[in-house]
Amino acid sequence: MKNLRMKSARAAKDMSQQKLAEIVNVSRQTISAVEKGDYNPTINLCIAICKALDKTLDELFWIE
Amino acid sequence: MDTMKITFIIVCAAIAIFILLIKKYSMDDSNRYDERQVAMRSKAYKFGFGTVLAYNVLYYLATAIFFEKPLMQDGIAPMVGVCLGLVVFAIECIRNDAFFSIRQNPWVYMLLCLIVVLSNGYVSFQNIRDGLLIKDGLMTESCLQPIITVTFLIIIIAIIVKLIFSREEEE
Repeated sequence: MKNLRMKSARAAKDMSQQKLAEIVNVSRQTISAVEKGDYNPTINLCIAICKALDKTLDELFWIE
Repeated sequence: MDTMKITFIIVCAAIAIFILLIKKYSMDDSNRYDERQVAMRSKAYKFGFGTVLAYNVLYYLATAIFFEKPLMQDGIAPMVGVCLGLVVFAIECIRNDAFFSIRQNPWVYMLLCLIVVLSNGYVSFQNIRDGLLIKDGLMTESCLQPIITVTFLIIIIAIIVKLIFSREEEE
């Protein structure tokens, strides 16, 4: 399932996938895979992404 | 001590130095793979290992049942298997963007591959021209250079194709 909330949070901060990848210390393709829903990140990566985008885990990764 | 023993010791020492260098290189943070890449690489390794096993079984069954004699001189068949496994591992890694570490420059690696292709390609050309590839119906050790050339050529082509597609899908 695509993670559109993460994509929109990143776009709201005017941040490219490459920039976010550099902040959380992963490859750009990994950020792309998380947004597309092709890869389930570990809790450590989820937390790093949330910190970089100033969001909570619930806001970005909780599925209703 | 004869030459063979000295060569053996030198090769062992070279392998030990190589392993130490790899270990030092992999501990450097700039050469780190991220968590998705590590997962994909382990999957690719599984495919590569499976390919080598399947190749060995098929090769020995084929030579025992259909040909009733070996197709290659001693030591060549395992090398073909290693190259096959390497190609499968590399392509699966490249396909999943897990071949290069986070900050690795693909062009430097491709340049090294190109040197391997050109140097082995040149020797391959000479071996083919001199008809050294097959002797007494068996593939000789002179076949190794063409095999290595093709292996690295496939890897280079796969990297280039992936780089073109990644550029298109970026953002």
